[in-house]
Amino acid sequence: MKIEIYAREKDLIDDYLLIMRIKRGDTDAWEVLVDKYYDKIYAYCCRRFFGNCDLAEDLTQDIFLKVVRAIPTYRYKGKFYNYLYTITVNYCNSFAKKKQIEKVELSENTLVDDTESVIDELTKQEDNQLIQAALDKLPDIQREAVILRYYQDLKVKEIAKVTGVGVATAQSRIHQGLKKLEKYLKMEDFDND
Amino acid sequence: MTNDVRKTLEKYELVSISQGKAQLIVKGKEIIEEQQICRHSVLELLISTFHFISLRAWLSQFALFFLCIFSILGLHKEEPLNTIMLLLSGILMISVLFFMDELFKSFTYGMWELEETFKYNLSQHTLLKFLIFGIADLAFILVMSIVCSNNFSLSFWNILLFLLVPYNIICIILLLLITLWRNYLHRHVMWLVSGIIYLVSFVISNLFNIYQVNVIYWSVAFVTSGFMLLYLIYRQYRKSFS
Amino acid sequence: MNLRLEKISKSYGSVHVLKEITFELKPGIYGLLGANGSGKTTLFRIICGLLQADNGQVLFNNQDIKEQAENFRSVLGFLPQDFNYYPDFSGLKFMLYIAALKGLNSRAAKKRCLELLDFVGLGDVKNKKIRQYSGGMKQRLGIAQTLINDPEIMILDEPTVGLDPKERVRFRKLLSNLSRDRIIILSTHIVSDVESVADEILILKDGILQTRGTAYDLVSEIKGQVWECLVSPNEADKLENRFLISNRRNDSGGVILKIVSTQRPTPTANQVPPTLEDLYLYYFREGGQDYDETNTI
Repeated sequence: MKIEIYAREKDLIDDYLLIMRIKRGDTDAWEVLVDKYYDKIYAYCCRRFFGNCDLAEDLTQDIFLKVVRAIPTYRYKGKFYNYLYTITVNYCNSFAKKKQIEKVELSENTLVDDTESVIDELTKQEDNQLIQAALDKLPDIQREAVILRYYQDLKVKEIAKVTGVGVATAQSRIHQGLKKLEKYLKMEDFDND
Repeated sequence: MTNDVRKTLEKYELVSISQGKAQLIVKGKEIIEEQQICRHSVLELLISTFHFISLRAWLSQFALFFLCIFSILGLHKEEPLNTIMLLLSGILMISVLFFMDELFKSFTYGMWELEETFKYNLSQHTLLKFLIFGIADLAFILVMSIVCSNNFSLSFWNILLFLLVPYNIICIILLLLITLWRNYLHRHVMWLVSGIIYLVSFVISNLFNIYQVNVIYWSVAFVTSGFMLLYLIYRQYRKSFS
Repeated sequence: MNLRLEKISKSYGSVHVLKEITFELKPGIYGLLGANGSGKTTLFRIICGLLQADNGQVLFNNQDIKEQAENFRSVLGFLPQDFNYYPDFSGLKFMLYIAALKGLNSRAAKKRCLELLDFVGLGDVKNKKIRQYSGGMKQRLGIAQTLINDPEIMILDEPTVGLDPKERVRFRKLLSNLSRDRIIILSTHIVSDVESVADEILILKDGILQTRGTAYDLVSEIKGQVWECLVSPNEADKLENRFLISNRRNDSGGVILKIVSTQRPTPTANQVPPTLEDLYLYYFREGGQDYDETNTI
């Protein structure tokens, strides 16, 4: 537990140093920052928007560019990744309001392991599609909360901050979302059998 | 129940496209470089100004400093106040003179025209140099006062006042000079003019027993000149940096 | 991106150095031609913010430069006519000093300065003191420092004075290698400097912008008014008093004169295609030449 805390603290200091360096014009620090968070934001956007990974790529870029433009005036208050996720969540939500996102077939952007056989790969893809489909069925705010909790590993308090609601609301959204997911996934099991 | 669902959820993994990431990094770099151009940091300017002050300027200051210490220690314990103060003031003035050389460098080497067109222009840059030297000399004065008050039977505050009042006046003159002078300043002219000013003040301080004057007057002179100096600095700072 | 001057006027006492100068520039290379003391330097000083015009405005991207102040200086690169330096500094130290004043952080500054020193061909001597540089090298250093902040506007005041022909060619090449999304204005009274390099030429005379256009357009103004004739030295002297002579050279048969005149100067004179130098002389001729003033363009 102690080690975990130290690791987290170090992480926060690292982020702080990176931001300070970027403010001074250090482009290498920018590269490190992108390397650190790109995949997470990308994954969030992809799962948020029905597995549409092409869209996720565009959104991720927009989000990061928004962040870098704001860095000169960024005052370091609280954790950077909370800030990043807040921008991500808000950006995705305003995007969703503006456009009708098509439910796209989950493309090949799922984890590919060379050691697995083709059949295993296909099964894996199928499973992923099922999970994504289940996620899709959730209302936006619950999907959001679930993704942040189980894929981005944010704490409930942090999720509350990022989505701009109280801790209790965040908790209930996660809870409701999970319950629904369980139902959908069990149903899928039935269908497959 | 939750754990089962969680385990199921965790099976769903994604991997990102490296091309998108690379493109993002490049775009981000461009934006960062653009931002650097419009960025304004007084602290950075202060550091770089300090960095480019020639080593010679600092070495000559240290040399003067040690010269001063040795002279003071070499003086008789019962030496009259006038002599001590004259010695101290003399060395202080030489120190200021050396600093002035560095301060007016942009003018004496004709770089002022070009430097005025930079992002951190001439007035900003020169003002910061002035502040750096001013603080260095203040430290010099403080140390001298301490050494003197320890070595001779004199009050620390008295010595401090005797040194700070002329120092303030010199700083005010210098500050006015930097804000007013806009042309190529010939090096020799600068030295000549300063030399004359010093000579005049030397003569005056010798003719009149200024150190015998009541401390009250000195304190008043100090406070007035101090406020004037601070006000001028503040005004120049506002003018240059906004 | 545009730079606009609106009715810029400047007088020193009773001398009107600039009279209501108005023009607009888009990205490109511009040559400002004018005789010595014609106000080129004054105009540049006003554009750079070094001097206050008596009247008028300088607008960059449609905003007064006085309002932009520091932001405008951040995108400006200036090479003054008298390029001075700190002789004790090495080339690299000088560049780093200027980079710091231009607001670059130290890492970016070092990289950029080394790049630029190589670009102008001073890479080998970067650690030598500037006082050891030749005139051409010093001028190249001057150009390098204007580029440190990747300026959108470059003002070069007589950048080729004192350079030998080889250096001038080198300078022209340097200039043409710069990327094209800048406004570069260079002033000169050496016509050949701008002839090949400038997209447009502006002619400043008597405090007024007399004309502007491409070299081709400007030269067309005096098309049909440039002649060449072969005469005896005596006649040549007589003709020099009467006409505007653009060139005089000795030949085996006598003297070949190039004359700018609306009328055929001698019965044997042939028309020749005009050059920019002829145009310059036409504009900057001294009074007393018998030139048909009614035929001014």
